[in-house]
Formats: sequence, structure tokens, C-alpha cells
Amino acid sequence: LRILLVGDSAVTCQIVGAASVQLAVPLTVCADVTQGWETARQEGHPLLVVDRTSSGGDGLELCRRVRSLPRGSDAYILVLADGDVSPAAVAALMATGADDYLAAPIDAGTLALRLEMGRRLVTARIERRRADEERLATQAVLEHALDGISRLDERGVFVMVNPSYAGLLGCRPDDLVGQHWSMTVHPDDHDLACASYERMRATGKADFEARALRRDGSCFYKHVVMVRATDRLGRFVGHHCFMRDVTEQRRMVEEIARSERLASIGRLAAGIAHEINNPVAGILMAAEVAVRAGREPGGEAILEAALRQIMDDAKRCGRIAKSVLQFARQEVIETWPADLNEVVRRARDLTRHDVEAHHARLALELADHLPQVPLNPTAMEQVLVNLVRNAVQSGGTDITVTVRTEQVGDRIRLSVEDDGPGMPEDVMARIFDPFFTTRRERGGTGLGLSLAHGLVQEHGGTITVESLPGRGTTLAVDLPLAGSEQSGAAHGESAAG
Amino acid sequence: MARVLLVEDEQGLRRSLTALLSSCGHEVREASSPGEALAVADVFAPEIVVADWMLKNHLHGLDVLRQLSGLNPRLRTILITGFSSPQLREAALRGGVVAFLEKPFDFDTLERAVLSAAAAHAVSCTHCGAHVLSAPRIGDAEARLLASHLRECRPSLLPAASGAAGPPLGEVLGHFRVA
Repeated sequence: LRILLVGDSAVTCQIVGAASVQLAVPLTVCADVTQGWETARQEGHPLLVVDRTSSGGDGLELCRRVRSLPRGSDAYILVLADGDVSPAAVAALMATGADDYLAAPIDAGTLALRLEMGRRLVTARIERRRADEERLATQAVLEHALDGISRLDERGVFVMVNPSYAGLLGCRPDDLVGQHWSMTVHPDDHDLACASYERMRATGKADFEARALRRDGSCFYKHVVMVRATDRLGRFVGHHCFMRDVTEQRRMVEEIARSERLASIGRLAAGIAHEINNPVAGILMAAEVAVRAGREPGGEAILEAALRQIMDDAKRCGRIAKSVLQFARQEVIETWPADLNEVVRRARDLTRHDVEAHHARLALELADHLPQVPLNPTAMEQVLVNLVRNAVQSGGTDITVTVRTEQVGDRIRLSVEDDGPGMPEDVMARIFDPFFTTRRERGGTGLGLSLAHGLVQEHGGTITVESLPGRGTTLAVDLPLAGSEQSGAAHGESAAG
Repeated sequence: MARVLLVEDEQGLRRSLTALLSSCGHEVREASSPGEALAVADVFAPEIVVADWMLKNHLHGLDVLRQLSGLNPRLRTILITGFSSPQLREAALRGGVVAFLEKPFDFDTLERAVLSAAAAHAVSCTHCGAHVLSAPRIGDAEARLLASHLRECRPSLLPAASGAAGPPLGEVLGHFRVA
């Protein structure tokens, strides 16, 4: 901040000089109007004192020209009026853009006071100009942003909508201002959007994906980020909303998922073909043997062996068909909070026969006061039966299988541990693959653990295997407790951080 | 009649096939794994091997055939499989198998394959010594296989562009030993 004095009176110079010292603001003095204009133009002194009777031109004309400079409106212009201070003369003077005037004779004290007021005025003007520039820049960003951006009040009513936001919804910004946000969400996704809205109010930020409703009733998938707006006292005053059309993105993700599903169906079909063709080949050849044996005298023993072979292979075909059906029937299963320990007790009854047939023992170590966990009891029973059967059939003798339940952090763990022969790493890596079995000769279809794996995944859980050859195997199922379940929207929130 | 080694991990099928092939007058030995096949072949010296493609532990039947062919270039091989694909068929034929049968098959089909294998020529490369194919007759299809082997084995010997029909049989046959 500097003072520029335009005037050629020595007395004025002294008085302004004294005021500049008093205010501790540096001073530049120009004797004539031309030089004053050059200095003002080049250096832009915001505190201007113009003696209207300076030499070299009209002081009032200088005021007018300074105001027209790019930042001229920031300046505080004080005119030293000589002589005529009639209302008409003052009005003419102020009309040139001057902020104030002092009539001669002037004293340093009054001048310093005026200049101090001028300084405050300049500061305020600069602040306001910057705020204006900021607002214009923000407006340009809003105007041209590809994302939809809007501001809503505390009731959820649109206050500001940028063109992209309105464009995505197939209307003009004016159509939305004054409307509630719920009219832009597909009715079926209303609850999801409301839950996100409440989460935004509670945590400051939330995002979700849902179907947006265009004005013409058509739909698209939007990804919305909501950011809470508060006043200086931290009170909720509304929110900012950012929206993007993710329909294409979703379509691609679905496309990829579909082709993966097709590929896995292809792999499954290949597996089924192989698994079925082997016993069918066995049946055909055994039948051929049977036909020939039937023609020969004394071929009864061979005939019977061949027919038994046919029965075995046919049963195997049936088992495979049944398992494949079960495998393919994996649908979205319903879960509800239930007692996992109860499931374990029922599974024990179901596996009793298998356990006894293999001369194994089944021990239960169930945690007391286990919290309920969302599960489908029938499906989880099936998982457990498969895990226990796998353990007792692991090929060891005198095996003890321990089924354990426990809470581990925000998950419930169900583990099935055996002290059988264990398995090498290459087997461990493939035990969840459909049709992988080490017991094909003894009727294994290779679908039991694969099925268990699928069912556990349907529960949002994980299944892991640990094994040491000679030491035994542990299969652990981890199920998320209610509340720690990640819904689609909650997942979005964690991604938004 | 021929000396046949049967490599099949399905016990029931293996027993039936052994009984049937034996009743046709062939001398048959069984093996249920690649390792056993190599051990039996060492003593038995089979003329024909019938092997399942997808043996246990995913040790491919084709690998077994390659190893056995390495021991005896005159060996004729028949591949049987429960799961086929055009790629597999091509790989098998390139690997020199006489016949490629998909499960389930009629025993007659296998018997015919065994008989034609018994009568087949074994063709091996004079440059690298590899057994390239076994076939009862060597026609255009076989000539193409031989040419493609030659292009890989000795690229300089055969012009790259020999037309869709491939080079005349006489031109390639000079590089192979037919037994």
C-alpha cells in the first residue's frame, strides 16, 4: 500500500508527507497530472490524493482515468478541493469517481484520518474483488464440469444445479431448483439413497450407486457422492452432491462377469463330460465282456463280475449327475441370524454314520455365548457335512475330527480339524476345484469341497485350508457377524474414505 | 496278433479292455500309471500302446506316449480320452498317434484301431530321429504332417510356400525312415 500525491503545492506536499509518516505508509509525489497518470497506471497506488488544481491537466479527469484502470476500482481517491465546495461542485467532483474531498486549508491530522479510512476501504474493496473473481472462477468450473454438481439445503431441496447435473437428468437447472432430491432417484432405490443420505448427515460424506430417474421417466445408473455442508457453528445446512453416469461402466463390468460365468460353465461342462464319459466307457466295455461271457459255457463268474462293474459305473454316473445338479443349483441363498452351534450339532447327527464307518471320532469344541450370525442353516449344515466327510475319508486310521466354533474379531470361525495324513501343497491348491478328488476309486466326485466353497461364498464368508503332510488338515470357515456385513453402499463409503 | 500295453487309470475299464483284447488274441499287459507303463514297457516291449489321455495327477497320456516312443521308434500308439477338443486331436496326431478315440467308444472301434495300428508304418525323421507318425497308409494328410515336421526340424530343406496342397509326398519322404 502506497500513497500517491498528485499536486505541485509545497505546503500540500508537507502536510501529506506528515500524514504518510503518521500512518507509516510510503509516499510518492508527482508534480503534474501527466506524471501522476503515468505513475498510477504503472505502479497502481491504491491511496490517491489529487490536488484538483495541479499543473499539467485536470485533476478530476485524472480521477476518472484512474477508476478505469483494471484495478482502479480498488483505489481510494481523495480530492483536495480548492475554493468552490458548493453542493453542486462537490457533486461534480464525486461524479468523477472520487471517494471523498477535503477543502483547504487542510491539516495533517484530518488528512491522516481520511487516509486511514481510505486504507480500510481499499482493503475491503480488494477482498470483495477477490471474492468476486473466486466466484466467477467457481461458476466457470460448475458451468463446464463434466460431472453433475449441485447444492441442496437442509431439507434436501436443490438450491444450485450445474448444467451437467441437469443434463444428466434430462432437464434444465431451473427445473430442479426448488425440488427435493428424491424425485431424481428411481423409486426402487429410494431406501438405498435415503440410507446414504442419513450416513452423509452422520459422518460427513457418503456415496452410493443407484438408478437415477430422468425427467422423461427413463433410467441410468448414477454414482453419487454427497458431502455435508455446515455453517460456522457446525450446524447442518445442507449438502453438496456430485453425480456421474456409470451406466456404461456397469454394463462393462456385467459383461465381464457374464463372460467369466460362461467360461466357468465351459470348464464345468468339460469336467462333467470327462467325469461321465469315463464310467460310460467302463459300462460299455463291461457290457461287451458280459455279452461274450454269456455266449460261452462256464462264463458265469465273468458275467457276474462284468455286471457288477456295470452297476458300479452306473452308480457313479448317478452320483456325478446328482452332485452336478446340486452344484449348479447354487442360488442366492437367504440368510438370517442363527446359532451356528445348533447347526454343528445337527451336522453331527447327519455325519454319525460316516464317522463310525471310518472308525473315526468326532469331537465338538463349541464356544459358549457365541453371537448369532447371519446364515442359512440348511446350507451351512451341508458345508459342515462335506467338511467332516472330507476329514474322515482323508485316508488315515483312527482319526479324530474336531469341529470348533469361536469368535475371531468381527467374524465367527467354524473349523474342522483332523489328525489324518494331511496333504501335499499341490493337492491343497486344488481341493476346491470342481471334480478334483484323490478318492475317485472310492467314489469321490470332487464336488463336495467345491460345493462347500460356493456356499460359504454365498454367505459372504471365506474358507481356507491348512495342512501338513503327516500332521493333519484344518479347514476354516469364517463368517462375517451381522453389521460387519459389507453392503454395496457401505462398500462405496469405505472407498470414498 | 499284437503285443498291447494298456495304460488306463480307471480300474474297471482297464480290466474289461484287457479281457476283451485278450479274447481277440492280443497279448495284453496293464498299467495304471505312467511310471508303471514305462516299467512294464521295458520288460514287455509292446508293439502297440493304448493310453488314456487324462491319467491321474494330470500327467498327460500324450507325454507317456512320447516317452515310450523314445524307447521304441516303431511303437504304434492309440490315444483314448474322456474329454476331447480339436486342439487335443491335432496335438495327438502331430505327436504321431495312429488313432484317437473318444470315450465312450465301441469295442469294435478299438479293435479296428488296434488292427490297423498293428499293420501301420512307423515313420521317423532321419535328421532328428523323432518318431513322427504311424499310419497304415501314407497319403496326402500324412505328407502334410511330415512336411510340417520337416519345416520345424530342418527349415532350410523345404521352401516355405509349397501351396495349400503341400509338397509332393516323394519330395518329403526322402527325409524319413519308414518301418
